[in-house]
Amino acid sequence: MRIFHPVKDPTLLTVYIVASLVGSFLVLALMHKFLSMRAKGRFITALTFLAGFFYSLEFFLPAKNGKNFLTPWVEPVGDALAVIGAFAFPLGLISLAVVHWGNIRRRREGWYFSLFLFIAMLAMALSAFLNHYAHLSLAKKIYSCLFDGLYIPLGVAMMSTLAFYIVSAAYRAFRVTNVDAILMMGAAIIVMLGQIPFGMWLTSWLPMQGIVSSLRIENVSNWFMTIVNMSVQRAIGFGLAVGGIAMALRVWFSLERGMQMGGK
Amino acid sequence: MEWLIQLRQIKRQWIYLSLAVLVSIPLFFKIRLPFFVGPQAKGLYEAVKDLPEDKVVLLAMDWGAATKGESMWQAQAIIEHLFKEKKPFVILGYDIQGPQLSEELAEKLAKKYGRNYGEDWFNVGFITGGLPLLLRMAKNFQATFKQDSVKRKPLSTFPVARRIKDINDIGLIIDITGSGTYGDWITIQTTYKVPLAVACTAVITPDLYPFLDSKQLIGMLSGLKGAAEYEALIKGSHRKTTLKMMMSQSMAHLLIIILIVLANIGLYIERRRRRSG
Amino acid sequence: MVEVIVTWLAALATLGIYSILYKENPIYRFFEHLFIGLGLGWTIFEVWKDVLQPKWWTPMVVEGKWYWIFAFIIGSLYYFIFSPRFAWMARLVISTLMGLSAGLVFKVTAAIYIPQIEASFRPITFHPSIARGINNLLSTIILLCVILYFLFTVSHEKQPLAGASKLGRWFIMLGLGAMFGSTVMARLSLFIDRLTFLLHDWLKVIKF
Repeated sequence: MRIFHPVKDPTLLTVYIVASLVGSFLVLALMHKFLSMRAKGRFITALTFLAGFFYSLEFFLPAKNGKNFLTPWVEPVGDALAVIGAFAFPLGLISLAVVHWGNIRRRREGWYFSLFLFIAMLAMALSAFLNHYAHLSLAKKIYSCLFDGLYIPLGVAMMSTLAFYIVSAAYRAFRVTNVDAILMMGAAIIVMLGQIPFGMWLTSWLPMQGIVSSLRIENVSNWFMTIVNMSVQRAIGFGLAVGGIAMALRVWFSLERGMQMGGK
Repeated sequence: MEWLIQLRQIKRQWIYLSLAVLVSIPLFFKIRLPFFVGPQAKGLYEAVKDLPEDKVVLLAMDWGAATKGESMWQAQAIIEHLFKEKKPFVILGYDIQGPQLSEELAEKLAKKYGRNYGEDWFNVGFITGGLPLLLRMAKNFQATFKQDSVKRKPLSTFPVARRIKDINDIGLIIDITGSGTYGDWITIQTTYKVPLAVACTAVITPDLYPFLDSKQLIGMLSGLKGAAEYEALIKGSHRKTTLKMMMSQSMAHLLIIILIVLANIGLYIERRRRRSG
Repeated sequence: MVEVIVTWLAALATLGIYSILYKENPIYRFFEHLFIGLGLGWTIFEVWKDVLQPKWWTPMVVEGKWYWIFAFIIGSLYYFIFSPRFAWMARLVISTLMGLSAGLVFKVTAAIYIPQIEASFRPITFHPSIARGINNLLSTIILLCVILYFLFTVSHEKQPLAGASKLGRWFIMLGLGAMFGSTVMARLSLFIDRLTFLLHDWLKVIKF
């Protein structure tokens, strides 16, 4: 259709964009005014159902030379989804801003930390944009300090505190009081010792070849992971897959609570 | 015997301090303990070595700062091996930080091995669009990515990029991931039968063994241990560093085992005392 | 000079975060808020640079593909979630995208799990290798017992399901133990990496 051809003339482009905005606004306004809550719910359900058809039909329909009539649409739909998802990002930003701006406005305890948050956000965004688009050398230095000197190390340090918590949690919570706990502890010790050089040293006196070599901790750990753990994970995976399909069908047919509007 | 029961109530600050001290010891002092390479790391090593001359490796850098402690060492070892073996590769990633952090690694190693951006590797950067984008990439690589992320030039500018028309030009996909992004790459592997290996954080390693068993994965690096194994295989620049870090792992694991044993001894004695008294 | 500043900043940030291990304190809270602020600022830049500019702004304004304005219109419907009166518009977008994702599940599940199902059927023979035969038998028993454990449609009170289900739970415990062992290594690696940075890159008291 010619109307969907790219438009080179800036005035015409502006007209099309503005017309689309106005037209969409009118359609949504009319829908809001004249459709009942139930009708809106049904419309959402119908749209969800049609949307679900796209990828599932593209997968199930027979393909000629690897394509069916839906295949050419996969790329633009994928791009559109990425862009629409990107527009959703400021939602989180707004929520955070509301909370922290509220702290500053009401001078709640620790309000200055919320102020630091906004200063850091603006400093990072500004330096990143100036560094990338204006190529200012001061912006590059500030960006480097903020990104390589603060942002990345802070992220890594935050995750690394988990090491301490896992040691503390294992010490406090790991109680070997029944068969289940004994099995879990035994498996954990085998896997842990099989991963570390100390564990490998404990059984290094065993030969490297032959049937006795199977008793070396790294071989025991490898056998445990490739046979026992593998089978357990596969079974759990099957359960997850069946559950995932069931959930997908429920979402597709809008059977989930909260996907309804005005209906049951 | 009272002191054994008290061992159940060690303050957490002392535990944290013990961990920090014990983990530091191998970094200061040389501790020689054996270290053996597992078959999963060997699988990846062989796949890179046996890569045909006309193929390119695709490195999916799906990791960020949060898993840098494991993923960065894995990425470093793999990139070094690719430079050593003169295997061309392309970097891209689902994580916003991964391709950028990997580019810094590649540039450092490229200086050592005399490799050039555009001729030996290029970087497409952060990609969005999930599986649909990968499926599109598999059919037409050049149309999917307009330009690289480093020099911001069209892909046709770079000799190695010009070689990739579609998935048939990719000889091996290596997904370096800190999360569950391997699902999309496994879908690509099953659809197009391109060899796939995963270098993952140790947390998700147990989940990947079924894929190794079904041959959907030809190799795997598990966390820091995997990085140390790979460095040992390729005789990489950081093999001493990663081995020292594995020695630190040993001390930390021993601490955990000892603490759990002590806590349970204390619990056992307390229970026995309660039953008898 | 910038490298030195970056290293010192990184070290101070790391120690600031580690101060929480002693107890909650203002230094930790400062770095925590700093991290969130920096993350937001950086994400704003990256979302524009890597998503919106190349995939939306450039095609729409530079290449003249005016219809990309609809992506903006659809994306902006998300913001009506804040208004109870107009929230249905946000649900329109959310439900449609969830429907699209639901459709994708079939392809992904088939691609991931059909080879898994194929690989589950293992030959239980002890020739030519007894070890392989035992491993195959064990794998099959474990797989069936764990699947049976999750089968809630039938009662697990009577034998043989009761025994199989109990075995399944024990095998799951073994799997969880393996996951715990792996998780421990993962978490510790992050700390060891940070400690290496502090001692080698910052204080320069260790050499490799």
